[in-house]
Amino acid sequence: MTLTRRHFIGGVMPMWLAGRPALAADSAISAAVLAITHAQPRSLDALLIKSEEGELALTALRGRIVILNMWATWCLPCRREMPSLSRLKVKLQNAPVDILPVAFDRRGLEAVRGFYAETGIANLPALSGDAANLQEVAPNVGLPSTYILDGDGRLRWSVTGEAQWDDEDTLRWITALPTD
Amino acid sequence: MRNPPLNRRLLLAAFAAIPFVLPARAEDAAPEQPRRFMMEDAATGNVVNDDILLSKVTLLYFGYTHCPDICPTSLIQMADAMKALGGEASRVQPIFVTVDPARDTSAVMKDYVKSFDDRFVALRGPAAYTDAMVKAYNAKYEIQKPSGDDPAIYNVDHTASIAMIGPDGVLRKRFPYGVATAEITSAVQALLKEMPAP
Repeated sequence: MTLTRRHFIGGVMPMWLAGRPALAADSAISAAVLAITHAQPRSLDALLIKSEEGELALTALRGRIVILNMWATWCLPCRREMPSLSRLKVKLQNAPVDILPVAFDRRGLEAVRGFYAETGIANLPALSGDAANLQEVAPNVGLPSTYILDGDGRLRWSVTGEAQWDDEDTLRWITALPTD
Repeated sequence: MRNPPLNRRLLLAAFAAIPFVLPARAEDAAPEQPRRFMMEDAATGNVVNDDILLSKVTLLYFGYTHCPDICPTSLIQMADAMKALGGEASRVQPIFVTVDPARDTSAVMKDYVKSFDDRFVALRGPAAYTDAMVKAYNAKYEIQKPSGDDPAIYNVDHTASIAMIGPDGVLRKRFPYGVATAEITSAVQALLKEMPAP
C-alpha cells in the first residue's frame, strides 16, 4: 500500500503525535525572559476565535489581561508547553487574567478536546482559530506564539516559541501587568 | 489524479503558511558554552568579540536608542545596580547592544549610554552580525513598519530581559523586565563572590 500525503496528514501523523507524550516543558526557558516588548501596541480584535459556545470576541475581555496562545495539536513544542499554561491558570485563579489557547487544527474543537482529555487539562477553554484569518491579523506568526494583551485589548508583549509559563518570574511578570 | 477542491486547497495552503517555531535553546538541558559574537565598540571603534566578557561579570541588554520606555527603564536599572555595587562595580561591565544599527550610529550610541552611566559599553554591528549575536542569546527583534510618512520613524519590538554573564563568558541568568534592581544587584554580588579576589 502506498502511503499518500492524505493518509499521512489525515491518519498517520495524528496517531503518531497522539502516541507521543506531551513532554514536560520544564527545560524550556521562562516566558518572562523570552518576552518581546511591542512599543507600538496594536489590536488583535479581528482574530476569529471559535469556542464551545460560539464565537468569542476579544472585545468582551476589556479590563483583563489576555494571554492568547496560538498552537496546534500537531505541533510538538505547543503540546509540550500547554501543561505549563494550565498550571499558570491554577496559580492565577483570582487574578484578572484570561488564558486563551487558540488551536489551528483541521479537526477544530474536536482535536482540542482530545488533547485536553489525553493530557488531563481541564481548566483551559477549548478554542479554535482560522489559519487564513490568523495570517491576516498576525502575518508570519509561527506556532507556538503567545500574545499578551492589556486591559484595552492592545498587544503589549509576545513570546515566540516554546516557553515555561508557570515559573516564579513569569507569574510575577504577568501579575504586575496593568489592566488599565 | 483529481485535484482537491479549491476550498480544501486553500485550507491546506493556509495551514502550510503557519510555520513551526524552533524551540529556543534549552538553557538548563546542556552545559552552557560561551556564546560567540563580534561587534563594534561604539566608544573606540574597535572590533570586539565575546572575549570582552572574560574576567568580569556582565549585564547585557538588547535595545535601541529610540526605544520609548522599556529600554530606558532597563538601562536605569543596570546603572542603579552599578551604583549600588560601589567598589565591586569595577569587576562588573554593563553592555548595551543595539538592534537598530541603521539609526544607532557609534556617535549616537556613545552619547546615549553615557547619559545612564559612564561605565556602559555600547556595541553595534552590521545587521548580519547583530542578528548573529541576538540569535546566540536566544533573543529576538523585529523592526516595525514606519507608522507615518517618515521612513526613519519606526519602532522595534525586542526581547526585554537583561542577561547576566559570568567571568567565563557563560550566561548565568536572565532577569525579566520589571525585576527589582535589588535582585539584580544581589545576583551580581553572589556571582562576584565566586570569582577569585582581584
